[in-house]
Formats: sequence, structure tokens, C-alpha cells
Amino acid sequence: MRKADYLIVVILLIIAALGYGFLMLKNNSSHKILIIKHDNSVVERIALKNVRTETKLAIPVQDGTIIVRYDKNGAWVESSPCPDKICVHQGKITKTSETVACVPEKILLTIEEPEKEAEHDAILK
Amino acid sequence: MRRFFVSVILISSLLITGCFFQQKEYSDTRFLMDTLVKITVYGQNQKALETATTEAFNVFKSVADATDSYEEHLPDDLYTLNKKAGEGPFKVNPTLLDLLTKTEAFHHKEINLALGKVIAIWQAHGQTKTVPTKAEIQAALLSTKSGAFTINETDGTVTLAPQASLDLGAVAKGYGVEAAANALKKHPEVESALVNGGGNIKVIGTKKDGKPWRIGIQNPRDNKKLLGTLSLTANMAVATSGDYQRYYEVDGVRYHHIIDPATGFPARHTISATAVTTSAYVADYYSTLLFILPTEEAIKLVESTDDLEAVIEDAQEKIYVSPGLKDKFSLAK
Amino acid sequence: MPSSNKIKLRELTQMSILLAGAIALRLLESSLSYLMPLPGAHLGLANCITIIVLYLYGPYKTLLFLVARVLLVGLLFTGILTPGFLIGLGGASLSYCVMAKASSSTLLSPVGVGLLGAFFHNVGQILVAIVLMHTTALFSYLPVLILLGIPTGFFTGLLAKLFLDRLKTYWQNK
Repeated sequence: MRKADYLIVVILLIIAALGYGFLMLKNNSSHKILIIKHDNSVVERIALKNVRTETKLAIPVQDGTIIVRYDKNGAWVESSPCPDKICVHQGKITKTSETVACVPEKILLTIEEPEKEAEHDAILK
Repeated sequence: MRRFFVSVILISSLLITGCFFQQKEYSDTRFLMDTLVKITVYGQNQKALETATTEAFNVFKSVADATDSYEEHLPDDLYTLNKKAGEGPFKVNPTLLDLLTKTEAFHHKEINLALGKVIAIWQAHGQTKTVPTKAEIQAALLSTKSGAFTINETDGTVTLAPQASLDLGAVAKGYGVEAAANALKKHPEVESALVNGGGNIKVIGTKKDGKPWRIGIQNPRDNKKLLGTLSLTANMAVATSGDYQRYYEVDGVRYHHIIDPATGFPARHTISATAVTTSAYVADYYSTLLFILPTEEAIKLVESTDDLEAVIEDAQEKIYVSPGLKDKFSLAK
Repeated sequence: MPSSNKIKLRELTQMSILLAGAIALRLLESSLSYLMPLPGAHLGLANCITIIVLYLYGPYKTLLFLVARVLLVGLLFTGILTPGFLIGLGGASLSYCVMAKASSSTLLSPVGVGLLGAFFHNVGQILVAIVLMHTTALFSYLPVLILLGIPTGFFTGLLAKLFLDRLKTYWQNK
């Protein structure tokens, strides 16, 4: 082993450390994506961080139309033709892996975000 | 100098192997028992996690099929049993038998599994947004009185009185979650897991970093906010019953889905009751019970029962947190 | 160290044996492929053989060796012109260029060459993957792969050095 070999190791370690540091900083931006699924196929993919004002989305379903609203923080079901309106009562989802579902109309709202640790593991609704 | 560098290299090699043994996460969501069931598992082997989760869902589905009062799935399920009311002893599905037996063993009159006819009336009126008359409810209540059903454990049969009808909404989800969690426990590759069945949650093991599971309770009057957060450790279960989950309003009065067996009308003492215990089935049972009981009685029950903690918000929006949850529950700001 | 650029029969035979060894190492690596974040990404253990060939036969013959190795690995494992193949190719090309230059330097022993080879192999793999997938998000794999490359580069270089030292003593003793 020669001196230069050790130098290479040190340089590589420094590069790796810098790379990690840079990545840690980058992950703090929130890249939330709203996914709306109808009957298990994705019908909408919306990058929430680009949303400036509250937006309304009308989705045609079996018994009528579901109205979903979203802003840059999250989304919720405003109205639905389903009989129990459970989806409306579930409120707003703002964090990754949170979901709102309308079972009779087979609609699922969920938020995806790369690698960010959600604050809660689950919400009792 | 050389020794220093050699150790640096050795340590970095060890750290790398750590990267390879990262815990993996797998989760799947399915519509079962008229609700969204989400199972999240953690372990080393991705394939094993998927297999375990599929099995857990199958177990949940078999509980759902046996306890569904709206549709027939099996020749010995709840739907069939209800149809055979007044026809003598009927041999029921073992899962159904177990659930009925366990629930009857509690002996709390506030939980009555024979409310089927009353619930059916509320559902019909829910469609038309009307309120049932006292007479209608009284008539239906006759079919719910003591003796509406008897269980013969040895023969595995249940005898339903004519006109009686069973509804297991108060306990079926918790029972299903517990069964699914037990199915997961049989797989050693599942290091930890969270089973969430529409408001009934069971956690297995601890999270990989040793931190507790953080479970939020929805604010009963503002669905964009939380009432508070629970920190759960290994093998605990939580369930919440609330008047904000399924309801309809007529003339500003809310008619929700948790019926007080004494009156046949929705219980009015509480707006949100959360039970924390070991078994998801027991949590489901108590969350319904604590919701229906007057608050002082509910509090007394919690404090005199082992392995039961609760968070209750009454109709006046006062919040009670049982002493055992002192360092496990924090109110939302 | 190499004398001329013509391939002698003896060199050809020796290189064929080494090629077989390299492919065997690659086989070993592919059983671990489920641990890797990218298709066709691999630890680069076979690099050890490449370093040996570099020091024994020189850059030109090593290039021929590598072409043969990459094609054979493609036929056997990743498929030719599949994303996995291209990723492996990118890694191998970049690391070859750097190692070829490095091996002629007197500052570095085979260990240093191994370290550089592993590093640039990983960089090459990621760059190709980024081009293929049209996303710079893949850069996030880099720190992990670099960190991984340090021990693997060290060990491949060390193995190559030990092998070459043994060989030298053997030849000297003949």
C-alpha cells in the first residue's frame, strides 16, 4: 500500500459524506403528490406544491359526481353522491400515506411523497 | 497511521453492510367489511412481508364474510343465521360462534348484539333523511330483549327468537383486526406491523428506531384537526367510536350510527370515545360501550378495569383522559 | 509488465482463464442483485480480475478483455442492450478509462487503482441510469454506492495486489 492509496480512501469518504449531506438538505422540501384512484386505477396525479389556490375537481362516479377540493397542503372530499358521506366526514389529508376513501363509489384519495417520515403512523377517524 | 486507515476502511465496510440490512416496509390497502383496511408490515424480506400481508387480509375477509349481516357469503354465516330466526338451533361458523360467545361473556347491557331490526330502521330512515317514530322503534325493540338469542357452545349452535336479528357492527371490525394481526404474528419475518381497519388499530412490535407508534385521534367537531395523539408501544390496540363517523342530520339534529339499546335511539352522552387495550377486539367493544354509557359511569368503568385506558369527549366537549394514558397521550394544540 | 501489443498464445490462454474467473465472480454478484437499487448495478468484484489483467498485459489488451467480458456477461445475465446491460457498460467504461491511466502511475498501488475503479464504476452506472430514466432523482443513490465502493474497491485492489505479488515471487523464483 502506498501513501496515495490512503489519500484516495480519504477523498472518497469525503465525497460520500458531502453527497449525504447534500441529500439530507434536499429532502426537506415537500414534494407532495395527490393521487386519486377510481376503482384501483389512477385518474389524477397532482403535484400539490405547484397549487396556488384552492382548486375544485369533479369526478364522475357511478351515482353522480364526487367533488374533491385541494390546496397546496392537502385534499378533501367536499361532496359525494354516496349514501353515508363517510368520505366527507373523514376530513382533509395532508400527510403522506393518509387516505380518504369513498367505498361505494370506489374512490380513493391518497398523498405520496418521497421518503419523508409522516408525523403520524395512523389517524383514528 | 496505517492502523488508523485500516480501521477507517473496516468501519466503513461494516457500515455498508448495515445499509444492506435496512428494514423494508410493505403496505397494502383493501376495501373489506365496508371500510378501508390498511396493513403495514416491516421486516427484512420483501417477499415474506407480502405473503404475510396477503394472508392477514384473507383472515380478515373470512371474518368479514362470517359476520356480514347484509349479504350471504357462507352457508353458516350471520346473514343465514338471521334468516333462520325462529327455526330453532342453527349451527354457525366457528368464527361467528367465537365472536358471539366472547361478547356475551362481557355482560354489559349497553352492548346488545340483537339490535338488527332497530339498526335496519335507522338505515332506512337515513336514506330518506327522516326520523323514525317512537312507536316504530318500540316495536323493533321488542325483538332485542333478553333471550333474543341463546348460544350453545357445545353444539356450536345459536338459536334466534322469531323476529330477532343480530348485528355485529359494534365488535366485528375489532375482531377482524385482531385476527389479521394474529395471522401476521405467525410470520417471524414480520418484525413489526400496524393493522388499521376503519378506526380499529392494532400495532405489533415496535418501530425500527424503537420509537412508539404515533396514532392521531380525529377531532370530533373539526375533521381537519386532531383531538390528540397517542403514543403506543408494542402489542397495543386502539379503537374510536364517534358520532361524526356515520350520521345524517334532520332539522339540525344529528342522528348517528351508535344506538343505545335502552332507548333504540342514538346515544347522546358522548361524541367521541377511544379505548386503549391489548386486543383490538376488546378495544372495539369498549369504545362502543364507553360511547353509550353516561360519562361518569364510563370513567368509573375504565378506572376499575384492568388493561383498559380511554380518552372520552362528552357532549359538552369536556375531555377525559384516563390516568394510565398520562404520558402516552397529548392533546392537540 | 507488458512488452508489446501483439497477443501471444500464452497470454490469450491466461486471459481466457481470467475471463472465466471474472464471469464466475459476476455470477456470484447477480445472486445479490436484489439488494441493489438499480437493475444491472453490481458490486464490481470482477474488477479485481480487470486490475490484474491491467497490470499484467497493459491497457490495450485489457480493453479487449473487457469487451469480451461485457459481451459474455450480457449474453449470460443482463441481455445485450437492455437497461441492465447499458448500466453495467457505462460503469465498466468509465472505470476502465480511469484505471488504465492510474495503473501506469507509480504513486498508486493496485489498491488505489481498485478504489478509483470502484468509485468510477458506480458513477458511470448512475450516469447511465439517469440518462435512461430521464430523472436526476437517481443522484440520491450516489452516496450509498460511493460508500459501498470504498470497501469493495479496497478489497478488489488488495486481492489484485496480493495475486500480483505472489505471481512476481513465483516468476522470480523460477
